[in-house]
Amino acid sequence: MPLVTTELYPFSRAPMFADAPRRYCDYTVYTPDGRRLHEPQDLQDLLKLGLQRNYWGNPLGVGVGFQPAASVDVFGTVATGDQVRDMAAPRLKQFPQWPYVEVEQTVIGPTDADHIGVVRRQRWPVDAAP
Amino acid sequence: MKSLSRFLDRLGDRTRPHYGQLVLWTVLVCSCFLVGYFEICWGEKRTSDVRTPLPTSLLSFLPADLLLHRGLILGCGVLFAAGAVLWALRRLTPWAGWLTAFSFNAVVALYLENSSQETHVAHVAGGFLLIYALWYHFYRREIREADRERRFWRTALYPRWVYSLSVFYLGLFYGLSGFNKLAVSGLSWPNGVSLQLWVELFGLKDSVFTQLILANRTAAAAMQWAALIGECGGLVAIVSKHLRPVIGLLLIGFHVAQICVFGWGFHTNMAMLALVFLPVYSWTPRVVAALERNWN
Repeated sequence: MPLVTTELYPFSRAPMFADAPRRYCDYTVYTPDGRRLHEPQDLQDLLKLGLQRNYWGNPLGVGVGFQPAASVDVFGTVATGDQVRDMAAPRLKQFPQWPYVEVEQTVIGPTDADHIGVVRRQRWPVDAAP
Repeated sequence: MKSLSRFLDRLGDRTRPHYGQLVLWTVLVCSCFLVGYFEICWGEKRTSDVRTPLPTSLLSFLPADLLLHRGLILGCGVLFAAGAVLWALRRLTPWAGWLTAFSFNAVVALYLENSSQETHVAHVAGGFLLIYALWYHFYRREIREADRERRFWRTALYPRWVYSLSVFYLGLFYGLSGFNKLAVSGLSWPNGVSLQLWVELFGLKDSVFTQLILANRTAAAAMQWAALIGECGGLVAIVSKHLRPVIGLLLIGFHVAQICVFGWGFHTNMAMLALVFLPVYSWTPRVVAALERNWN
């Protein structure tokens, strides 16, 4: 029984897409020098800031050897401005050229009975933690 | 009790090996692509240096230095290639089979050990290689003799239990996936919204399926229901040979849509579903007999 309730290759309960999210968030970072950081092209910078999307349809940190890098993004939930600041501010030290950034959170979910799209957009300034 | 006894008796029935070889060659070809992918992409999906607390694979007992060494996965890849060629040529029976099955599963395990993202594209191939290595192991003497006397294709060497075990494994794999969805999300899983979100995020924008799903929530929910019924039906397919082709078609349709929308590499699963859940097992002897009649 443990072999069908856990992920231990070659045994698997095939948990891909077992969740049923109703929304997700997208993060974009605007830097003082005019750059716009967004996945997938700026994944490495977003990883350093903890604003990347780890979700790939499977439960995180299960059936793999390494935990995903820490991120404020939990697929299916919406992080608050404070949570975004708490995650990104201390990590901004890795980018001494940016004393601050602006983080934009785009929430994507149902917009009517048939479609999904942007339901909310919020933008927070994040200063590098002292 | 009588029907159970009859079923167990029939597991030992044998047919000529055409169907078994068809499945074996298909899974070997698919496995080559999968090994190539895992060798090339090893380490690419790792995003931190923090190990997970639970074991990842049956190889997790190995020391980390060895487990995460590039040379080990490369070595397993070389062993797989050698084993697959020998097995396809029916040399070193049954050891070529075990070498192929173990080295393939080792490659996948080592990939997962060095990753932060799980993938399930190789589980079915790994399971089938083990099942078919068992076939070659238990019938090694008959297979070697038949080969020596050049009557391999004329000898009844393929036991029914290999086919039955394949049905069981495939049915269990999909059944677990379906019931896991119900356990995690309940009957609200096929709500249409979740599929639209996944497609919006991961989908290939030019696919006709992508456009249909994003334009119509009812269609999205219907596709999710079809997938859920097909997956849960995996368990039914184990016991019902009449419903097996219907469930097979549902699951093949699910994979066709999945590949068209996401481009993920579940081609091996699709091929095995076609070979095991559709009536290829019962048709193969008839097709072979007809071809032989034509040639003679």
